[in-house]
Amino acid sequence: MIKTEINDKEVVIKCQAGDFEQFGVLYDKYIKKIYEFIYFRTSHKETAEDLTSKTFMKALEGIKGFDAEKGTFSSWLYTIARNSVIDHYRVSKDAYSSDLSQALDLASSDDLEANQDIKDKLREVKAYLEKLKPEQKEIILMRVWQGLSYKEIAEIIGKSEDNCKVIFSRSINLLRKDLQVIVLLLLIRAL
Amino acid sequence: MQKILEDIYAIDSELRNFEKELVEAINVLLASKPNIKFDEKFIKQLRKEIMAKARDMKAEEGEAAKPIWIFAPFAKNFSYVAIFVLALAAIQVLVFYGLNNKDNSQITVKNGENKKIALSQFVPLQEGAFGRLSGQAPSDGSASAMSRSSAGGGYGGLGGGGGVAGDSEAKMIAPMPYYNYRYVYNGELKLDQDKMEVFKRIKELKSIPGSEAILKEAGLGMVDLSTFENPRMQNVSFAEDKDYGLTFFVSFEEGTIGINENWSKWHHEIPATRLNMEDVPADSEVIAMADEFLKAHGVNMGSYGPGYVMGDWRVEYERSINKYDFYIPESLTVVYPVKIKDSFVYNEGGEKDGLYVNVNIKAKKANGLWGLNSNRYETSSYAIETDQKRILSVVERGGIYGYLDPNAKTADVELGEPTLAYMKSWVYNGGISGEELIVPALVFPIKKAPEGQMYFRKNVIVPIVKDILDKAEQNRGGGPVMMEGAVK
Repeated sequence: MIKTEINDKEVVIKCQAGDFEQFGVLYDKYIKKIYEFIYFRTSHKETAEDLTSKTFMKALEGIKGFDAEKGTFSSWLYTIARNSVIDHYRVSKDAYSSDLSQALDLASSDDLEANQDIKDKLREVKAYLEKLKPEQKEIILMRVWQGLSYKEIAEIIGKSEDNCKVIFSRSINLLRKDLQVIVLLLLIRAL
Repeated sequence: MQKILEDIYAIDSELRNFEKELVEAINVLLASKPNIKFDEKFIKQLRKEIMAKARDMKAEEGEAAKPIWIFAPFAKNFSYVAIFVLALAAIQVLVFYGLNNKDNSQITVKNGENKKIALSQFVPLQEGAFGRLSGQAPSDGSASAMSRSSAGGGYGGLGGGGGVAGDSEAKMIAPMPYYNYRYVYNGELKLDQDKMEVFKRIKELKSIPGSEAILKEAGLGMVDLSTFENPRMQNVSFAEDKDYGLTFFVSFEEGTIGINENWSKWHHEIPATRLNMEDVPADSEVIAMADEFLKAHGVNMGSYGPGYVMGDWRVEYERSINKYDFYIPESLTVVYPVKIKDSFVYNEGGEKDGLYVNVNIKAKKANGLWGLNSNRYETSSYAIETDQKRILSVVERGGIYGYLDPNAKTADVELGEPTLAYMKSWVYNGGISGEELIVPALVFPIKKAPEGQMYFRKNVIVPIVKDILDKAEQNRGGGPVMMEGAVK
């Protein structure tokens, strides 16, 4: 069976023409991605579910106002999700940050495959990522963990595509250098 | 992976020399991604809700609601400068948007004509999201002052502007001696919840940005208003240029709409001939006139109960000695009590709050409307007072602003079994502006008014949110309140 990639634009046009039930197609495509996106930023199941629910409701209610000329549906949806998280932190009086180190804490739990080498490197990666600015971290993790394109990342966080590429490249390069040091340190410790 | 690497090399081609290490770095990041377990039950349930919402939206689309029906009939008879044509079209879309749509939890019911009408909409927030509900009292004694005098004095306060026929004068007696009303409830209170929802009205309608075309015209050749940065319309008013024309005012900031008579277009007799009781139509006729007005202007009544005429002036009339001299009001007010989640909302004086329509008896036309507010609310749960003794002590003195002077004469007023409803309350922070909250409250009906009294109060209302009771307790000690009537 040939799997056809869902064309978001076509589905959105149908919704905007009044066939709102087509939104279900978009829901099925993005629900897990959006939930993941939010969960990485809240680390709390119930909160993530609540904000995911709000994100999709807002998207459905606002679908007629979405302008495909100004960006992709995907970026728009992620932006709604991101704003929902920011609002959540504002209401809870905690400073919002895209600090994803909480998410990294999850990764260093037993969910990970038992690869000691990876775990050791991961601890150092976490330390490295904590040195980065929140924006740099967010770009790296949106690109690597969520596979978002630079265009999408740029639309979500409000920067230019080129800027996002530069930030990502430099950050990865720094990580590369740090990892070399990490590997060396690990070797020294093993001796 | 390859795409990521290519993007990196596009920025800095020398990094190709470190491909192996870059791949390792990216792999470590990939490996660090948490393995999230998705709750399939949640995903299915949310899909069900989304699809239900989509079906509702599709059905409403089919109803083809006219945006701002309330304004359409006015538009024909207006005379206005050209800029307001543009503003009117934009406002039509936005006020419809602001008052009717676009949030979670839209509840719809079908009326007798099988039309769906949107009711209040709720945006749930986490517990305690509105902070401590114990802001400072306003230094200028604004809204709460009315409540204090009304709650203690047995006179129901009313919300909104526009004037209320007949009931607007609270009778005041000399400060000394004071007479107390002690409110007595002999039953039990059933309070089985320790947390309940508090609602905060989302005031702001989305205002339109000041478009360059509108601003250039609005400058009237005297100033270039388009040079101001990011202007947004805060409020706008219009007037009908016709006999018995009306004015209306939209506040985008407060999320309210008010309608009044365009005074110069109504036939006011000077001096006015006084009305007799025979000139006053039956309540059913007055309500019919108000209903017709609302229907003609497409006012969304989904959040309101059936209207009733405010009749305290009749009580005064019946008790007056010289009926010939009694002033019969020229306008009567019909109240459409507002509901949230099937419970009525009251003001702090124990009167139902809602939408008010003024009906001019002489002209036999409705000439005013106020209390038409945006019906979107944020909700957050707060701790409820479950100590019956504490609540009954507040009931006894007539509400959170009541006071029993130990040195004054006291008359007991018997109360009936309470119902759980909501009360409109204001939390002031720093005395600058208040947050309008709607909080759970117990409403005790007056079973038997004190005899021989000009007593209008219908209910004693007590909010049961702990924060609000705590603050009211802290603020007490302001002295006796002017009381209505006198105990014989």
